[in-house]
Amino acid sequence: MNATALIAEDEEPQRRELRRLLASLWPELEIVAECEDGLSALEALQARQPQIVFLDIRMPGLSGIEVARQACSMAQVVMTTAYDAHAVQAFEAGAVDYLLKPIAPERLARTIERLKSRLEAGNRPDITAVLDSIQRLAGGAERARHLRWITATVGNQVKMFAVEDILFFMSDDKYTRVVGRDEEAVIRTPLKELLRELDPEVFWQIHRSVIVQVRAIRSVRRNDLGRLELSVEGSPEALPVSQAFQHRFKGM
Amino acid sequence: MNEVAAIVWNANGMMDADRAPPLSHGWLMRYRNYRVFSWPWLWRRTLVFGVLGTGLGTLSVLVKIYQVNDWRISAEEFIVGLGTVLVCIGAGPLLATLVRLRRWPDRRESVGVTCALLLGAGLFASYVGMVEHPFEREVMAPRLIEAHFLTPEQAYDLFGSDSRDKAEPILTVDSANGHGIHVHGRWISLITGMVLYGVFGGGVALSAYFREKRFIAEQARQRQLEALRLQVDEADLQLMVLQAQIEPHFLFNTLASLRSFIHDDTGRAVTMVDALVEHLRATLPQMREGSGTSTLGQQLAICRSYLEVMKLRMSNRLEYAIEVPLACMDAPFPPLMLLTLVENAIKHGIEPKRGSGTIRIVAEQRRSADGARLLVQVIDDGAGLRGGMGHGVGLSNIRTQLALRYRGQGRLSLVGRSEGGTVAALEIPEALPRP
Repeated sequence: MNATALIAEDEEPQRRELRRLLASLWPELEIVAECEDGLSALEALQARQPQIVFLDIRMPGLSGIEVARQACSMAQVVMTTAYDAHAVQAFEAGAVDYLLKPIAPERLARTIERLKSRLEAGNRPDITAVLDSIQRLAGGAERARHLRWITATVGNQVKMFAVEDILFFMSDDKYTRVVGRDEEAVIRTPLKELLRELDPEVFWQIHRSVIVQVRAIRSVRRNDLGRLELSVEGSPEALPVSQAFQHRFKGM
Repeated sequence: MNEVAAIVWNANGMMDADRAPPLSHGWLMRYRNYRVFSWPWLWRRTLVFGVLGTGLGTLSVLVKIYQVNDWRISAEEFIVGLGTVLVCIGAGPLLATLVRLRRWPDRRESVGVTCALLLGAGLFASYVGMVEHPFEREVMAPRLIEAHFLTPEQAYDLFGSDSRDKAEPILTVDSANGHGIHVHGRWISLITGMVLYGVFGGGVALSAYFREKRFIAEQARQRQLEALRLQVDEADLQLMVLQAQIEPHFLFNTLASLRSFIHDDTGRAVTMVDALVEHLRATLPQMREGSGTSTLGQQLAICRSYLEVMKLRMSNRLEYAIEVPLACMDAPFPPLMLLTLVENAIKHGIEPKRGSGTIRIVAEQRRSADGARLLVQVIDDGAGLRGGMGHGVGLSNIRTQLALRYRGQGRLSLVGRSEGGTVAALEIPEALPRP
C-alpha cells in the first residue's frame, strides 16, 4: 500500500508547489487531501486518516500548531513555515521535521527519507511537549503584554476600543459595560477575566463590579453615607469604592 | 513679560491640573493668578488690599469724627492712616517687584526679594514710628482727652502720649505700674504690626513666591522628563518603522509562491516578480530616508504593490481597489500606518473568510474649522470584527505614532460594517501641529 499524505496550506500556489515537489521526489506518495485552513485540515484528518501531514504553521482559523496537536497521535507531522526562528529551534530540539519555505528539493528529499524510515518502524514520536514549547515561544511574547484592545458592541455596531480610552468597566448582570470618553459599549467578558489581562498599574479594581482607569480619576470624596466615591474625567457617574479597596485612596 | 507670565500661569494650570496651583476666580484673590512680584500681580493686589484698607480707614475716621467732632483732624488722620496702609501693603512688594524685574539668577533673586521685603518692613516700621505714632501722640491723644473719650492715663497707655505731667519722669517707682502697661502696649503694637505686615505686607507673598519657584522648578523638571520621554518614543518609533519595513514572512512566502509560478505559470511568475520588485522599491528607500518625508501617494504605492503580491499569492481570492483623488496624493502621510491596516484587513478579514474578498482604500480631504484634515479608510468585506479582547501590537503602534506626530489630533477607528467586514479609518490633520 502506498503512503498517504495530507497537505494543509492556505496559499494555493504554495500547495501546488509542494504537491509538484512531492510528485517528483516521492511519486508513490498519495495525496489524499488538500486543505486551505486548519479546521478543514482537522476534518480531512479524521475522514481520510493520512499517514503523513504537511502543516503550515500560519493558517487562518485553527493554526498549524493546533492541528498538529491532534494530528500527532494519528500521523507523522511535518510542519512548514516561511520564517519562524522559534519554531525552528523548537523542532530542532524535538527532532520533529520541519521545512522552511520556499521548500528546497534537497531538504524535502531528506525529510522524505526520514518519513520513510519512520513509517517502516511504525513509531510515532510524541511531540506534544514540543508543540507546547512552540506555542509558548510563539505566543509568549504576545501573552506577556497587557490587553490593548476591546472589541465591543455599540448599539448595533461593533467597534474596537483602545484600552487607554476606556474610563471604567462596570459589570451589569450578565454584561460588562465599557465606558469610554465619548461612548459606551457592552461586552460579555466578565470583570474577573478582564482584570487578568489589564495592566494593574493602569487599571484598578475599586469595587466588586467596577474597574477604573487610574489616570481618569478626577476626585475621591466621601458621600453622605460615609462611603468613598470616585468621579472620573469625562463621565458624570459616581463610582463606588468598596471597603476592601479603600486603602488605595488613603491620604488622597 | 507680565502678560506672558499670566498666560504661562494659565497654561500651566490647564496642562497639569493636578499640580498647578488652582486658579482663583473671586475678585479678592484674582491677583494670585499672576506671578508673585510681577506688575499685574502688584497693581491688582494693591488695589484689592488698598480698597480693603481704605474701607477700614474710612470706618475708623467716621468713628473719630463722632468722637472728636473735628473733620479737619479726622481728614488728617485719614491721610496718615492711608499712608500706613499703602506703606504696609505696597512698599515691600514694590521693592520686591523691582528686584524681580532685574531677572537676576535664581539664588540672587531669592535673596534680593527677601531683602526687599525686609526693607519694606523697615520702611513700614519707620513710617509708623516717625509719622503715625507722633501724629497720634501729639495730635489725636490730646483731642480725645479733650473730648473726654480717654483719660490721660488711657491715652498714655494707648499712644504713649504723656499729657499728665510733663515734668514727671517716665521711669519712677510711682509710675512703675503705668510704665509696665505702657511697655506692654508697645509690645502689643509691635506684634500687631508684625502680624499685619506678615499678612498684608508681604510675608504671605514671600511664601507664595517660594512656593511658585518650587512649582516652576517642578514644572521645568516635568517638562524635561516629558521631552526626554518624547525623544525616547521618537527613537522607538523610528526603530519600529525600520524593523517593520519588510516582514520576513511576507518575503519568504512570496518567494515560495514564486517558485510555484516559475514551473507552471510563467506569466504570473513575471507579474509576481514585477510586483515584488515594486514593493521592495517602495519600501526599501524609506529605510534610509527615515520617517519624516512620506506622502499618501508613496504609502498607497506600498499598499498597491503589497496587495498585488497578495492577490497573486492568494490565487485571486483577493480583489482590491484604490480610490483616492489625485489632490490627496502629495499630502504628507506617516509611513506604514496604512500598510498595517491593509495587512490587518487581509489577516483578519479576507483570510479567515471562505471564498473571495475585496479591500478598498479610499481617501478624502475634509475642511473643518480647525483646518484641512485627511481621512483615509481601508474597507474590507471579510470576516468582520469579533467581540472580545485583543493584544494586537500593530494597531497600538499606529495609535502611538498618531499621538506622537499629531498630539491628540489624529484618530484611528475600527468599526464593523453591518453588511459584513470592517472599516478602519485614519483621520489626520494635513499640517503637522507645532510642538
